[in-house]
Amino acid sequence: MEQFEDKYHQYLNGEDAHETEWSDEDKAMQDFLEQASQLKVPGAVKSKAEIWQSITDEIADEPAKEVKTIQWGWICAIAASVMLLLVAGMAFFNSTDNQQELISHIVGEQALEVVALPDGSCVSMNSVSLLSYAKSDEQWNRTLDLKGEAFFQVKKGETFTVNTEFGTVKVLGTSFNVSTRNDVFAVSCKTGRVEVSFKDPSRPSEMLTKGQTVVFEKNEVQRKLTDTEKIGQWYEGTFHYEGRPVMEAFNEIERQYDIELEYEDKTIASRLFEGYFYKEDLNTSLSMICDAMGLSYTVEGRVVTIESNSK
Amino acid sequence: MTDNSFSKEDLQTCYDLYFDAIRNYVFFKVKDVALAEDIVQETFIKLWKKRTTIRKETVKSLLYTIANNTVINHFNHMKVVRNHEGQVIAAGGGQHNQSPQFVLEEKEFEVKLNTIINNIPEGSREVFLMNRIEQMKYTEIAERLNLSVKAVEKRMSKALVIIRENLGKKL
Repeated sequence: MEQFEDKYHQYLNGEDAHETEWSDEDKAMQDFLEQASQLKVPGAVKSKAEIWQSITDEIADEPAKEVKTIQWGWICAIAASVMLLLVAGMAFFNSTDNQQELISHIVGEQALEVVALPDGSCVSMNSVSLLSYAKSDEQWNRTLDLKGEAFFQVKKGETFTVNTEFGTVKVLGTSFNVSTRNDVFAVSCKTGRVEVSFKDPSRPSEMLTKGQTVVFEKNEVQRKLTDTEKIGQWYEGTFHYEGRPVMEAFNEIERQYDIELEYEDKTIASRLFEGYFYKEDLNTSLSMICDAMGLSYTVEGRVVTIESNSK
Repeated sequence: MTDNSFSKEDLQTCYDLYFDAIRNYVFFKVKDVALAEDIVQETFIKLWKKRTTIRKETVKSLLYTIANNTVINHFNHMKVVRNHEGQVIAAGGGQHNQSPQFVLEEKEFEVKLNTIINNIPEGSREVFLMNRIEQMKYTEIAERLNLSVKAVEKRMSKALVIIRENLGKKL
């Protein structure tokens, strides 16, 4: 098998391979490879100039639009997060769209951050997350916006509200975890009581008590029980998954180590993963998942390729 | 912004230089011209948003990385949408049922060629087509995709094995 490919690598690389003996089967292969190089990519739907026009239209509104980017979707927010880090303060304070001044905490890849709120509550923010709230004491009102994931330890008092793009979490005084990643909204209650309401007003809100989790995805709400010790444990470096697509764990690794993942076969991503990984070094984390899932990985610079062992 | 920052002229230069290459690269992955064009557009917008962190020497491979991530994001999103609609799909990038409409003179062979190329998984297919259609050497592909030459070789080997199996089947 080795040899069969080796001589082709030379051939495909335009290196002289005249000493190689080609069999009939090889001739068919060569023919195929030659024909393949005659293929052409089909013509454009939009012209190069048209696309350039769209791009310049899109970027013309900066930097005021930079703030709006966050609302477009999490994916854009990630791309813009580095940029935002630099201009965040400026953009937020200068923006005419915002009536109130905001305090924003933006956490990039690899980082974790603890934020102390004005009322003495404490927020542990996971990598690639954004938290913002009103600067003035009158408007603060124990209300904040979250994208990404954070674990909250809330001082007893008035209602404390976390707004996300999927819905709202309200508590009095408790500790709980909120995660919005891709299209999944998950809230876990560690102590006390938590009320979760959704963007769609017709959907009934969910009341959570100690050890309960609610997951909202694909327009469905699921309730389950979670070991309270595991809730918010990511801050200590242990990430737990209970029958979730393994992609969620791999996406977390991308954020924790600032790397890019590739799947040799895209179906791998949706296989279900039950277990956990530690954040120590990249290889330890990757092998904890891969060993459990019958996968293997290769690291090349910033790119990690995940492969199925069975192939 | 500093003097060595990435200006709009730089963006336009990049666009002029790399548009075709990136468009083809994305097309090899997604097999759909209109979609590929949308992704290229998004890729350059994302590049612009990263402009404060760009090093000009690496902008080419950065473009490929951004394009690749945009494709992944697109299919992650599609997966959620389609799952929600209750359709059966093969999860992930490039696995949808559209076949690439390559243009080739010999009609008969074309069908077979397209069928076989469709059977090559995305990672190997993009590398294979970059080598064949764009006449790129392994070292060039490796550089563009920020991979090792060995990784490119591995992907090409996979493509070759699949081609051989498929040719044998039909002959």
